[in-house]
Amino acid sequence: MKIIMTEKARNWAVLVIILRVFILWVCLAAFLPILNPARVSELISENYSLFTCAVSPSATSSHFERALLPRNAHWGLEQSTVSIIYNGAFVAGLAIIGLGTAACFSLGNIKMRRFGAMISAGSAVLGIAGVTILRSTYGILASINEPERVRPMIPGGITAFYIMFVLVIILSAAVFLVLPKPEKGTRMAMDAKYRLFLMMLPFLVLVALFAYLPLFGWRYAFQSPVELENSDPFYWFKFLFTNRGVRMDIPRVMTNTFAMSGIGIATAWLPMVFAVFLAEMKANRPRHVVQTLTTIPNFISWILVYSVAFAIFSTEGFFNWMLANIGVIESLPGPAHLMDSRHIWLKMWLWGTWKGLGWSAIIYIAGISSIDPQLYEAATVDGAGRFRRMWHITIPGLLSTFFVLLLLSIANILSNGMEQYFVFENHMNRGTIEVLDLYIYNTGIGSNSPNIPLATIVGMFKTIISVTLLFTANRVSKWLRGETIV
Amino acid sequence: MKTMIRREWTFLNRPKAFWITSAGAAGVLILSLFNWVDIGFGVKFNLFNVWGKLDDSGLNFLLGWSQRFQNVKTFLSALLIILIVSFVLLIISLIKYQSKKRLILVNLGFGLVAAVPPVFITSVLVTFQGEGIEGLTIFPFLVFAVAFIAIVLNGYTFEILNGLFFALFTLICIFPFYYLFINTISDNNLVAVGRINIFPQGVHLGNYAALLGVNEIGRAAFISIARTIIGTVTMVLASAFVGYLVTKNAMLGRKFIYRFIIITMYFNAGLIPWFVNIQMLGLTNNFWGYIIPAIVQPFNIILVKTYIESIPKELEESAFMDGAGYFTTFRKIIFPLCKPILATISVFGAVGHWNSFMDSIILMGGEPRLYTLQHRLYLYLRTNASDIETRMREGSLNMESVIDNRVISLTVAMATIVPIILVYPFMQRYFQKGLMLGAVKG
Repeated sequence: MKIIMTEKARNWAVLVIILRVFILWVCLAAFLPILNPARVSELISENYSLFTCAVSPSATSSHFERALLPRNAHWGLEQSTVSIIYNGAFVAGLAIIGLGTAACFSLGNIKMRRFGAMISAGSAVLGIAGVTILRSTYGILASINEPERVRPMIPGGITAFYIMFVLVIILSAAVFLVLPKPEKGTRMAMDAKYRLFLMMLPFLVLVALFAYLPLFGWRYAFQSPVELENSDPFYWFKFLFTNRGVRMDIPRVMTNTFAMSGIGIATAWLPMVFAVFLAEMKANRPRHVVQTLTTIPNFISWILVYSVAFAIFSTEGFFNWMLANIGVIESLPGPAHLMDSRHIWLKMWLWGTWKGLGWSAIIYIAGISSIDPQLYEAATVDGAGRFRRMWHITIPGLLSTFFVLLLLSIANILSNGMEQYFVFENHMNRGTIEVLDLYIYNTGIGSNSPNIPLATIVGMFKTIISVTLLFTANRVSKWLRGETIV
Repeated sequence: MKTMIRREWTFLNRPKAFWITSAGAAGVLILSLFNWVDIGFGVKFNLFNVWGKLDDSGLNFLLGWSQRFQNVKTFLSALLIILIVSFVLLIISLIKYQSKKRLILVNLGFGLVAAVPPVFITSVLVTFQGEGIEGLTIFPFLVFAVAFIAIVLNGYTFEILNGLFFALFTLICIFPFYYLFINTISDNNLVAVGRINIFPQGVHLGNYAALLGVNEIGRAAFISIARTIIGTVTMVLASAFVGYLVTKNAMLGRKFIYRFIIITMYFNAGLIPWFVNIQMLGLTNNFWGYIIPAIVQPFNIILVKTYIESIPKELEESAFMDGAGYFTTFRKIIFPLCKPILATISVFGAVGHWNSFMDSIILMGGEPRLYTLQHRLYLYLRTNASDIETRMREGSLNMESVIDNRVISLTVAMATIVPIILVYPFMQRYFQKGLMLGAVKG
């Protein structure tokens, strides 16, 4: 169903496109912290955008917590003032949503476009109101008893948004005026391609918000510390290579990472062998029972694995009971094995194997069932025994799967995942259990004095190296097997 | 004219009789572990007791653990139990396959029957002499010996070793859960000193009842259930809808959009920017922080898209003919047809939501009311561990609090595992199907 447009409407389509693109920029501006019109006080974090202030009242008010304490009542700041900031941001946020809706309408036929222009003009008026509210709070903040406490300011974003909203009104008016009035009885309609696109749009926004927007956070890597006189975007990069503590940490963390990934890669053949031997169990029901029961550990979280470990390896646990029985230790309670810092790499590998072996074998079991039984019959006729059949038929049939998984695990050499190490970590074994992911967490979030820039830098390097490795693995796969893995 | 064929009564042609013999003997064997069976002459069938009556000195010398032999016997008994369980699993695995297997069973049955006279004789001896109970130890070994010889003679060495290995590995996989379970239902005082290892003692449900009384756990369970349900439903609906939309060639920039979504599987900005981003979006300390970031799952979208592409185009076209829009077509035609794949991804999604705890720890730090069950469990285990650490360093280990913490953690852990274990057997085929579908791509 193609939408019929008059000659005049088509000529002015460029104006609609300009309006649409301009609205897109206004929407993006709402995510830029530097253009946040709600930052009317220096107390509000410079990392917050208008969007944050609009959707999360607590984000705004948390910065005024100290000023609102009863003992600071003589400062003269009132709760209502803080609410006004939030409300202003909220109104501006609503206006932005309205603009977005209007942009969607502008994809339709003339009737929809005219309607959209009305919406965008209305939203812009609403937006001006919101920004005006925010502007007025500057006056309120400046007039309290001790304004220097809340450090009021007029953010550049206020002017910027005023200009943007006014431009939107002018453009919308122009669009509304130049587009001919649709004939009576015309219904709102839109091309299928735009309709489908708009159905998809909410999900695209989600992807952009949660997968692409974080990339924008890499800018924290280039933030220099506040106390520094002249800002140096590469301060933390230099810190990474010059600071004594960090220089001690990184090699240790990398050793742990490579050791644990390395053990995993070196034993990557285990699931395959597991599957091959399981397939030798000819009775169906017991084989299914084994298969079902050995995959259960894969479906419990690491925290539950830890609680199991805690039960079995605690001072009065099953493991110590066995040790006491064979006489290795005198009596219960025995040592707390989870506090032991020896052989951590091996222990972590054992836990990983316990949890994942049965599950990783399933893919090979399926592979075995797809091997042609005639091959086995022929081999048997030729006098091949059980192990010869395994070696010359089953294993070659599984090798391509094995290589794909091996390449993937090599590409993921830096990403051991942190959950396992996070739950098993304690102050005794921190030195040998801390892998890269865990180090990033401990540096950036988990410590008492989080160092966000440093953790961001390390994470950045990790992402870049991982992506490079993945593409290399993909190339290698293409070269070896003629097909890609991603 | 009828000819009467008189069959000889042997174990071979009376499998039932021989089943009963084996089952009876096995029953006695198992019961004897419990110290329950009094055979009437003042003698109890009990493996532990039997071991206890053994002469210490000989084995002492052999094993070289002087002074500790008492313990060795207990350990060997435990080993024996494990062996028996593995053996039973193995035997079950051999049944019903070939007639040869039946031969093994026959041998086993004979072994069991052969074991009865010595047991009976020794027990009579015990009655009259008061000692000499060592003879009872022959009983399990005889069974094993006869059955093992039978199996080896029939060329089943590989089967028996293979079966034993898998039986043992399976046991290792499920024993921890069993251990956790018996520790939560047994007498707490016995648990605290590590006396509950193979069988529960003093069974009670007080710990589970106590859980119901702890407010924060109820709250955490509610959050966990809520996020699992809401999170799974939104994820599945979104995956289905997006999976449908990306098959529509008519869409503006379809290829680009598909790649835009899928490529996010292969990179991420890193933990810290992700966290700061979520914080910036106001989703920290907010229930929706569990749900919204997890709605779009590229991998599931691939699965649904692949599935929809396998549905005949004509079905959809006929709907368009009847004047249905895209959304109606999706709702009335595509969605019902996709049910198998949606079941698969919803099972994965639900387990993922139920199990995830890093998001609770990282994002909800400031709002204890939003902690999930897993997060609570982590906290219990952590306070427990650090508690013991500091107290041990100070040299003042307060047993009472340790007991409480330990039992509570184990009970919460069990309560968190149970839903998965209950659901798993029914959902297993979906899990495996999901893995296979993933393998097609990966």
